[in-house]
Amino acid sequence: MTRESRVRLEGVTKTYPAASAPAVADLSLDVAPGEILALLGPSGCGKTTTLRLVAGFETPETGRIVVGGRVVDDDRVHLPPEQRGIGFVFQDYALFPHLTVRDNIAFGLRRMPEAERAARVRTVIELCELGGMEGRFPHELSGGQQQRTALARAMAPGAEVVLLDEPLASLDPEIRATLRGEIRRTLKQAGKTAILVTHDQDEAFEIADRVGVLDHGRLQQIGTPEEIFYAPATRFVALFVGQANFVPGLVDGESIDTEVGRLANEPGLAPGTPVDVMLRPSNVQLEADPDGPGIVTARVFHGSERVYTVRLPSGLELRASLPSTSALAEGARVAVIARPTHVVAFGRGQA
Amino acid sequence: MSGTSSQIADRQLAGDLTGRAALPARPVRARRKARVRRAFPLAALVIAGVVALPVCLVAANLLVPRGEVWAHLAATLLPELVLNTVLLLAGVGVGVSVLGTGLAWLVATRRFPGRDLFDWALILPLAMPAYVIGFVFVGVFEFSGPLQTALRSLFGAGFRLPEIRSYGGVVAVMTLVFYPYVYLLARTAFGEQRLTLLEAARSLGETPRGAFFRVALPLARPAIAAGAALALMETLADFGTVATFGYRTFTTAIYRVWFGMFDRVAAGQLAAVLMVAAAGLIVAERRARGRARFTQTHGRALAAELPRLTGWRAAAATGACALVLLTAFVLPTGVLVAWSLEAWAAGRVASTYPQLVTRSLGLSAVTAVVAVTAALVLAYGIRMAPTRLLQGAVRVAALGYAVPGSVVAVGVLLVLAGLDHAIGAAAGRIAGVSTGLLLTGSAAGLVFAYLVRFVSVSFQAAESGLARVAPSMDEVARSLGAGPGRTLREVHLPLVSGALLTGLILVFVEVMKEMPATMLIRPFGMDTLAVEVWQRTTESLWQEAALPALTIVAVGVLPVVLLTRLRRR
Repeated sequence: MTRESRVRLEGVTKTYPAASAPAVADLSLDVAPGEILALLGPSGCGKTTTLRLVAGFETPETGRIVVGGRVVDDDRVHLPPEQRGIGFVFQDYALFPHLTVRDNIAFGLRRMPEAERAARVRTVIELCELGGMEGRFPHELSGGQQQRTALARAMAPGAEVVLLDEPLASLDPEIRATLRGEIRRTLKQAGKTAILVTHDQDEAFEIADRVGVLDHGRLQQIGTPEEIFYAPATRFVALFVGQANFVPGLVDGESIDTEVGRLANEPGLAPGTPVDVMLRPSNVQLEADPDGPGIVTARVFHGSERVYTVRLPSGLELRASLPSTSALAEGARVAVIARPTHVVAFGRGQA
Repeated sequence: MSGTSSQIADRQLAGDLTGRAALPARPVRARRKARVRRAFPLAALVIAGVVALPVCLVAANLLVPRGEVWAHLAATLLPELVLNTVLLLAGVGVGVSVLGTGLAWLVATRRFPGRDLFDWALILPLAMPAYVIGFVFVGVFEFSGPLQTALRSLFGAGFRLPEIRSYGGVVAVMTLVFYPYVYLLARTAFGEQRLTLLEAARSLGETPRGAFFRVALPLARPAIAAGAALALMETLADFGTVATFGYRTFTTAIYRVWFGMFDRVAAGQLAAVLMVAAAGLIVAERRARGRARFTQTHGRALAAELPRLTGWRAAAATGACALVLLTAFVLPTGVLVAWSLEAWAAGRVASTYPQLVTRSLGLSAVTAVVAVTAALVLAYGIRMAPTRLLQGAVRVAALGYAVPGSVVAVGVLLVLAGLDHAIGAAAGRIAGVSTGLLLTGSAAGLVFAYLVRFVSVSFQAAESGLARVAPSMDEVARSLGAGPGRTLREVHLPLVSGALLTGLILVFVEVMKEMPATMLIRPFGMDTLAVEVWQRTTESLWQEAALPALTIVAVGVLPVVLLTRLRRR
């Protein structure tokens, strides 16, 4: 990539002692200034290791890490964490229990003159909406306040890059939902470049500008949330970021023939290739039709939407998500219409 | 009790409602159970009261009009005693804090050759009573000792080492013996600290050293303070070491006033002052532990993958740990073995040695069983009836451990003398016989004193064991048809037995090591291993003191092994 980058990883590999496979394998990625990148993947996929490598808590065996134009890791260099000037928000927040909110935030400002330090603390406290909490100790804060304090502390020293390791994992679902927007707003307002690690695709989609999906230490795909969701590069990505149906089909020139109709051959596959077309439940539409090929076998109410399971004559079962105002009974015959945003197809037997 | 009968009525009603006939045996059984319910707390209250009595009597000395004796003490002895004691506490406090914390940090956060061995071996000096290592050091380092003699033959007759029987000597010896208290607690505290806290400090611009001083150390401070308080309690209670070193403190003064001047009032006054100091340490320790709770946090503890030291750093770490272990345990033990062999070869092993061993073991075993039984009653009593009165009484009874043996001895002697007097008067009036010093002159008095001093050790064990039995387990067992007896046998006992065994061993070893209370209370001629060590060392007969001392150390290693196994779990 030629665009300007704030954080760059080039072919970074890290294997823990006594581990058979590398935790991070030949990983390369770029984060532009002011961009928020989410690293998404199941536990053990290497996303936290990647973050710790950037922070300097781990040393890569091979590869190069460049932060703000400065090489912080390569064959010869390993800059210790305290010299990297990178903010880190830990999953457990790691707030110093013996210090108040104010002193936690001021921890990294020791070399700053007193007046400037006080002003900086005030600014960050305001930015993170922690007014009135300055004198409290971490155990006197709610989960959300602890999370904000951790973010405030990481940003206070003026780090241009902030790393967040599962920042919302230990919070209740409701608070998590509100804090997602808040974290994004705070980071953007402060103009920080950020890498966020999470296993929750909603979190990644809502907070980040771009999402990188990791599996077994390898980057599977990197792109905007929309690209990741509607145009997944692999079956793994397709399944990890949401529910997916895989419908067998055969490429026939300009189109792909499937049991649910002909779809455009957008991927440009060679004619005669047997493929599986990925369809999100929201891209499958159902219409009540006494002569339709599908039979509703199950329906689950999810509040605003209703997810139907439909069996096709071939025995293939598809999931379709419709507004919950739809009312198809179990056993009803339906017509099945595929309306994919992008047609995504994987070769049969291909990952 | 109306409450009980209404419960029975409820149960019968419940039986009727569920269509089962209420068993006729039920009310009888329930009544018997209710009796047990009352009996346990009552017994616990009596035990706690009796055990707390001696300490309370000494404390009462504080209220006694001071009078002439006090004026005399205040003018002559007190200033020196207070100054000496404060200096000793200050020196040992700094010593154990620095040594214990340093070693704990090294072992908890770094890998270096021998670390896994040092991890547990650094607790070993706890097996060594202070008075044993004290006389070994004096024996080796004194002017006529083997070391100085050898050095003189090398460097000429004018060569001198600094006098070992000095303030510095006492502080050094006590630091070496008592640092494990700080080491143990700080080691646990550092080990439980979350790695992310140190990493957070690093990401905020701190060097590893800065992270230690600004994060790790402040977080471990309550643990370090608690450990130091325990070490200082031991320092305050010590009699043998300061006596051997000729360093005057309250404990030696009490002994001197009691035996030298036969002045019970003065001894009581001194004991009371000493107790106030001990109470201060208890408060300090409690506070420190209380604060530690707030800083207990969850999360990933210091990882298994610790930074490995290399080169001179690794050598320095290994060297420092080895040096401490050698001087505090290995070399003293070696010296004891050598001296024992010398005494053996010269035919100077006391003919009473087997008898001393039997007596020490016997006293320890009897006390251990009595203390654990008493502790069980106390623990069950509190569990059944957690009233303020009972909890308060048990707390006072458990103070004995922090109160120096000399103070306990004075209190126990006051109790026994009072009892003997009463029994004697009654016997004289009723039967016309003189019973003399029935209790004061018997081993029962000694066991009582040990009980007062060490019941808190067994109580803590019993309580921690019982804490593993959740109240719901009783209910589950009962709902599955097990009666109280079967519940006790098949649920409580298996869960509690491990803790009780720990309590037995700990009390056993404490009694083996105990010296000052034994010295003051033992009936004439009833020598134990500790008394034998004391008597030989006062005559500077190091070789003859070695075998009894070595025996005590051998027994003392037991709880250290136990502790290590507990921590491994």
